[in-house]
Amino acid sequence: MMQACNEKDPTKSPYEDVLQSLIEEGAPGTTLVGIPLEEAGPERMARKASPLPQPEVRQKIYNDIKHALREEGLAKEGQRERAKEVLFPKQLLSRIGFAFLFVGVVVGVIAVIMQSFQIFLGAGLLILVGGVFLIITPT
Amino acid sequence: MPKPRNPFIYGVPVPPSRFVGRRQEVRTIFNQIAGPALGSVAINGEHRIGRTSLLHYVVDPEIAEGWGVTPDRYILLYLDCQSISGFTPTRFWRRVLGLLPRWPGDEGPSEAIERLLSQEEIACSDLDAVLDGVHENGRKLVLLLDEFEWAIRTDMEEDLATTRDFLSGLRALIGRVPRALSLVVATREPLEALCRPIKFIGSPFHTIFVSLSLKPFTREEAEELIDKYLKGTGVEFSKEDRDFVYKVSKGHPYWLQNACFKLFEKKLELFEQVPGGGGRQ
Repeated sequence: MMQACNEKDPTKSPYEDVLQSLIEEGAPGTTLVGIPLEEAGPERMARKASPLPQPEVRQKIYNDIKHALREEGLAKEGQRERAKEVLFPKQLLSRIGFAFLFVGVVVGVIAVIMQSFQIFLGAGLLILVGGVFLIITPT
Repeated sequence: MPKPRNPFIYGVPVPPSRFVGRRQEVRTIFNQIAGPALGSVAINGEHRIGRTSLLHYVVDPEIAEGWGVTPDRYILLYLDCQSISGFTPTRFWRRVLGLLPRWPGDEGPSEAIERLLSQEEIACSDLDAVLDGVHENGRKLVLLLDEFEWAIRTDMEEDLATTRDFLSGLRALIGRVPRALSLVVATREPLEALCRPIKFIGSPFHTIFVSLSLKPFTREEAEELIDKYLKGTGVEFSKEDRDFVYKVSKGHPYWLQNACFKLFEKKLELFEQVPGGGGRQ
């Protein structure tokens, strides 16, 4: 029975030479990293396509890309999206502000009528809180 | 030996030959345009989601013909409203009329177009004669209006009335009989939100549109994009690579293309660093 063998080196698979010659000839389906075979010369065909190397190198590349994307605005846009979702809506903030102001003024009037300095301080505090809400309301 | 070109595109609209995904949206648009009712479509989507690429794809003659939108029956015009400096209805119509084809002799609405172009002011109602001419010529006019928010000016009180009149006029032109005009407008915010400050007397402008909201790519669409773009480059993205670019971009077309572009460059760099690995000779 005939058995396929590698005539140059019997320790190797008989198909290795065939595969190597296919790569060198630029056979369809054999690719190099980054070089379409139509464009690559035979002298450059010794390296077969390979995925990114070791996990740590790959991770570094991913981190570099992520960093570059963030510098180009990826994080900024993400933050904007989060800001839109998390922050109180403008209307709510202004309504709270006006509510505090209104209650503060009412309490202030009561304080004047009752001539109570403590209530007057409380009214001032309410007005102050209302003012803060209105200031932080985005325009 | 030339270095392979990076196939990924970001920052500019993708050419129709490189367009990927959005099958449902494309189908909806052509169903509206080529449908019996000659409907209109309003596309919205966040910054860099691919609104302009979609419009460029739809207006491409080969693509449109594939959906039965042939030049003998339809006039497809793409117009970026941003390019109309100091947007006014008159400037807008002047651009549209300037883009319309010129019919030979007495055919089509050539005379009406020339007459309108010589007018100082052009209102929507003036377009009736042009649309009648288009209809008599056996065709329909489809305007693909990018950055349409430029036409919806609501900042100043006096803008509100002008915008309301313009949009109401446009709506009337879309709905007039015989049907000869369809709009495909693209905006960042939904049309309804943009028109909210405007108090329309009759039906609101946005209600005449079929609304489409562009979302980030699904994983399948992202895979399709990567496969299509890498084809013939000799570079492959592993499953880890694909997981990474999809995760970091969340499927957003701009960031996906950007991440793929950078990964492609890194792969080439790595290859060039390997001894005998294809440094420039």
